[in-house]
Order: sequence, then C-alpha cells, then structure tokens
Amino acid sequence: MLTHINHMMLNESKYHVSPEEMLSEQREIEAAKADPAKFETLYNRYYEPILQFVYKRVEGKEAAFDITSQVFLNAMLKLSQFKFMGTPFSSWLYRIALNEINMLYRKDKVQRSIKVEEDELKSVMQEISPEDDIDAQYQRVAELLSDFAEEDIQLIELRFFEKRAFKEIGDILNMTENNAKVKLYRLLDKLKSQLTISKKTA
Amino acid sequence: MKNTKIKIETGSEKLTKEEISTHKDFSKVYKTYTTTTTNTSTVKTPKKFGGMTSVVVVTTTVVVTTIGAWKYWSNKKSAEQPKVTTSSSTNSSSANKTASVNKTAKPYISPPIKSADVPYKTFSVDVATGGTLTYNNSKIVIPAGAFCDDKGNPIKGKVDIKYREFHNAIDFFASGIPMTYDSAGQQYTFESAGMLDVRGYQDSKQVYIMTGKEIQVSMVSTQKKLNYNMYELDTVNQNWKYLSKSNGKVMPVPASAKKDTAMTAEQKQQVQQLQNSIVSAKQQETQVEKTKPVAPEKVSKDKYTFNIDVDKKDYPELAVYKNTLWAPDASDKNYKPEYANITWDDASLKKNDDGKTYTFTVKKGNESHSFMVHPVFEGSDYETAMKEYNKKYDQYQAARNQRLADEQKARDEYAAEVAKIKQQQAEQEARMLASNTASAVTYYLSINRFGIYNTDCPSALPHGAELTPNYTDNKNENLNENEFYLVESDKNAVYMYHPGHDCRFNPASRNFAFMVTNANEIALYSADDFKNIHQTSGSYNFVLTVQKKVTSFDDLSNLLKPYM
Repeated sequence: MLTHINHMMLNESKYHVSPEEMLSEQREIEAAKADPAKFETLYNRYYEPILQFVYKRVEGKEAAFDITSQVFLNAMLKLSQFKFMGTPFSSWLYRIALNEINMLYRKDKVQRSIKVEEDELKSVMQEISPEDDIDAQYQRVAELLSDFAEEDIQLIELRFFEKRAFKEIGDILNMTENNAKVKLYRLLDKLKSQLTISKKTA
Repeated sequence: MKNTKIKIETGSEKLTKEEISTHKDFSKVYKTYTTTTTNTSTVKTPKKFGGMTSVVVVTTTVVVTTIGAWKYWSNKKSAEQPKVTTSSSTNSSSANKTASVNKTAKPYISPPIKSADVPYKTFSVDVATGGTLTYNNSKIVIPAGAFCDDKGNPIKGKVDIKYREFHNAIDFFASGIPMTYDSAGQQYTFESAGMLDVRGYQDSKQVYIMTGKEIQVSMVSTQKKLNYNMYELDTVNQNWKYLSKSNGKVMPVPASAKKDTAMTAEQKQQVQQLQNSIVSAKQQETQVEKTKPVAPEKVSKDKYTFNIDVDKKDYPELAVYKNTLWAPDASDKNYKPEYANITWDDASLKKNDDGKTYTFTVKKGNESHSFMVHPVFEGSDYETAMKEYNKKYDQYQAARNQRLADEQKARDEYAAEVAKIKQQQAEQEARMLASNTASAVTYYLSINRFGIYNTDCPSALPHGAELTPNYTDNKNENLNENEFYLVESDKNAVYMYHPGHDCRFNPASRNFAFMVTNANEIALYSADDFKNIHQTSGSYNFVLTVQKKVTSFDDLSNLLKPYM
C-alpha cells in the first residue's frame, strides 16, 4: 500500500474555490437563473478552464471548441436544476464536460486520447516508484496507463495531470473525497505492480 | 468498464490565447439558448392508469419542439444573418407570414401521415395458457396468466396482443415515435438496431401485464453492430428511459434472408431440364432392351416340336426365317405330348412380354389349353437364324451402349450444374453474411409493461455543412413550416429538423431527405440534389420535388425505399 500520497501535493489546487467565492458565485448563478443573459459572467470565467479540460481529452481543436460550446449551452439549459450544495459551480461544469466527452467516445467511436506533459507522467512515476530512474522509465507509465479503464484514467488525469484536490475530484466524479482517495490508492498500487512486472519482462 | 487503448500524447500543440479568445463568444451561445428555449411551451398532465401511463399535452402557443439532437456548433461570425428560430419568425421565403402561426397541438407520438403509420399485427392469446407469437423472425413468448385489468385483477379469456416493429428510417419516420434522447441536457438522435411496440387489449379495453409476469421478446435485427443500449419510451416524461446495455447475439442467417440464396427461377428451370434428360435416357433402356434378340435354338431330338402356320406380318421377328418350328418351353408343364394327336378347332399365338417365348393356345369345343412355346430351327434355318441374331445383337449392343452413354452424359451435366449453383449459393451467402442485411442479431427483452422499447445508440447530428434553409417545392410552395427529414445512408436513423432550424448534413455521406407537404404528399430532396450543394454554411434554397400523396404505409414504403 502506498502511504505517502497525501504528501504529493502540498500546494493548494489551483482550482480551489473558497467558500466566499462560492457564495459570491451562487449569487451570480441565481441572477443567471432569473436572467440567462447574466450567465455571461460565469461563461467568461470558466470558458478557458473548460476548453482546456476538454482539449486535453479530445483530438483536434475544432472538436474541443464545439464540445465546449455545447457544455455551456447545456449548462444554461439545465441551470434551473442546479442547486448549491457546497460544491463549486465549476465542478458541475466539468461533470457536464465529461458527459459530453464520454458521449463523443461512445457514439462516434473516437479513440480516447490524453494530452499530457512529460513532467506529469514523471510525477506519476515519482509517486509509485521514486527509487527508479524516472527519466528512463516514465514512458512505461504511459504505456501502462493507455490500457486503463475510463473511470480509472479519469482519476489519474484529474489528480496527476491537472493536480486537483480530492474534494474537487470527488465533486466532478460524483463520489466522496474519501472514495476518490481510496480508489486512487488502489490504482497506484495496481500501476506499481504492473510496472514491476513490466520491468521484469522487459 | 475496460476501454480500448488510450492514446497518450506528449508535447501536443497548445491552444493559443488568440484561438481561445476567437471562440469565446457568449452571444452565440446565448442566441442558441434563446432559440432552443423560447419556442417550446408545453404543459404536461400525466394521468396514471394502473401500470400504464398516458399523457395529455396541451400547448399554449406555437409548438415548435426542440430539434432532435440539435446542438450548438456554429462557428459563424456573429455578424451573419441570425438563424430563423421560430415558426412565428419571418424569413426571406415566408415574409408574408408575419403573425404567429397557431398549430394544433400534436400528441407526443404523432405519425406525420396518420394513414401511413406502421401497422400492428394482432394476435389472439388465451390468458390461461399464454402462447408464443411470431412476427417475421421475432418471437414473443407470453406466459400463462400474464394479464390483469387496470385495478390489477387477473383477467380470463382471450386477449388481443398488438405488436409491431420498426427497423429502418421509413419505419421510424412513419411511426412518428420521437427518436431523440436527452443526455446531460443535450439531445441526440437514435441510431437504431430495431424498436418494438407491444400492446394488449380485451374487448377494446387496455389490459396490463401482471406484477411478476414478463413477456419475453427475441427481436431479430439486421443491424450487425452490437454496441446498442436498451431504452423504454416514457410517455409521461416524454423521453426515453435507459434500461441496460443491449444483449444482442449474432444468430445464423434467418430463413427469410436465406431465401435470397435459393435457386433462381432460371436455375431451377435448367436443373429441371437436366433431370428430365436423365429420366429420358433411363426410359430408353426399356425400349433398347426390347430390341435385344433371343439366340436361336436348334431343334433337339429329345424335345417335341411342331409346326404352326403363322402370319409373318403379325410376327415380323419370324419373317426372316423360312421354316420355323416350335417347341414347348421346358418351364411349362402344361404341354402334353398327346395334344399332337388332336385336330384342334382353333389355335392362336401371342408373344409374351419376355420377348423370348410365346403363348400358344389351342381350342376344341369346350376344351382349351395354353402353353409357352419358343421357336426352334433346324439345318440351314438355324444358320440363317444365327446370322440374323448376330446382326441384331450387334445393333442392340450399339443401341445399349449409346443409351448408357446418353444417360451418363445427362447425369454428369446435372451434377455439374448443381455443383455450379451450390457454389454460387455459397458465394452469395458469404456475401450476405458479410453485409449488414444478411447476418441477424437477436435482441432479448423482458417486458413487464406494455409500451415501446428500442435498441439504439444516441447519435449526434451529422456535421460538415450547416445551412440556413429556405424550403420550397418544385411548385414553389413554401415548406418552411414543415419538418425536414434527413437520412444518411450509413446510419439507421432519421434526423428531423424542425422549422426554423439549420440543416446540418455531412457532405461526405450519401444524403437523402424528404418533407411532407400540407396535402400529405412526399417531397423529395435526392442524393443528387445534395451533391449539387457546393457550400457548407450560409443560406440555401432547398427545392424539393413533390412525388405523390401517400395514403398507406405500403405507399410510403414503396415510394421511399428506392431512395434509401
């Protein structure tokens, strides 16, 4: 069992939304419910994060622009159903975005893709096997991750490639913070054992 | 769920600030939002009846339901002409229609041409015993005691089960069953592997499936893909309810498909002719064997012989012999030597079927005797007879050999033709198996509530071209208030564009579309018409060609099938 994962991200997630910000945002959401034109504030705030989130998961910029537009349209159409439950509005948007992306994979048989930086792969390697030669081995991690199931890769993406807090991962994936942690620990254990086997057979 | 391999890319191209700011345009999203929301105003009043629900839909004003699978995609500049968004709006072609157009509210399931709806097949089922019903290649198994009334009380007697299936774009269109699916606020059009509608009635009153009972349906589909989901149509909430992943199984080619690999009429005729040739060659055997001569027999001093005065015209086989003697056949014990001492009043000779012997009958008063005799020869007559016999035997042998050769030839030709046809059939079957329409997939559904079920996968609108349409027919009638139905050849779906919405299609696909005129005529926009569209954005005049008024499902099917 990996025991040091909680030390991985000492810095606060860049996606962190303070309670005060959430409260302020909630007022904006209520205003947008009353007057959809006022959704513009939220749109302008989250357009780029959502676009980047989508672009990391689909092939082609045009597809990313299209899906992002669709995410905001869906958000406006469903805004009346959004209830403030202590979760940032952005998590709700990311969830819609994930639905859209999954739909693309499912219906169009588009190959699942991940855009990732080498450093991000190395951070995974660092986490599961810090004693290894990370520069020489991190490509193995990419190979192993390419066989992961969708629900598993989402956790890895959100945590390691986007450096999100477990609370936010839980909000986006509709699970508790603790559940997100437990699942990720297991995944990393699995990845570590696969990496060991991979090194032996190489 | 395990996915297929994920493509992990490092060092990908980043989005530039300029790209992001170019596409960040709230006004377009907002415009799309208002288009989508302001056109629909419906009040749904669900009314429950036992296990089933029905719905009353009351519309308050213009009813232009949200376009099936309509998405925001436009990358057009905001300065472009805005989309025509409602039927009460005006556009270039309907400028004379400035006021709101009040249409009659449509039921949730509304066949575009009522008389051309997909017909039900009605089965009578005894509630006590249940039964197995067959609809084309599908089977519907109804357990005993499966039905109750609207209060849940078991019912007895016969029940009428009405059943129908929908397998292609014509069926989907004709039925008027909504083929859109909502997911996370977005609508998709169903690409279907087949849909079914099952109902139960007793004395014209609706019946219900008893709690704990299930009707098992194995629906045969010709769509080969297996990545479909099962859905049930929820008529109260007016949407499709996801049930499960489909459990389709590829089955052997059904009999209905195999019949296409049966012999053609021409092949059948050819085989029949060859069979007749064999029969004919075989029939010759009897004729040829009749010509087989009998070897002449020499007179034996140990056997009785006698003369018979024979008219050689009646017995041509004896004509070549000058003096024919007759000897009683050894196998016949009826002959007695004393007969030779009697002067008979009458005598007659008849050739037997064996071709070798004759029946000789003598009569005197009431006394009559018949016995078998055969010709015998002596002296030069025997030599003459032998020569004649050898000559005839050679002829017989030649005829026999010829007949055997003819028969063998006929048999060989028959075998070759049958083998050729079988080869063709095997090739044809292999082709059919490789095609979408040949191999069959059977989907298994357990139904505990009458209604409409389907095996589909949601599909987004085609993309590649997005045009702001102006629909007219070739009689210059305005069709802008009517739905535009698009069919893509490789998708088993109908994309319906409501009035006022852009028309999206994939120029790389084979497209075909149609509309229903106010006179219930079908107006077509053919694949060739689509090929002549040389733009992917902006306004476009779609001129559809009116075909004819459609009054039945068969009418509709016959009209549209050639274009599918």
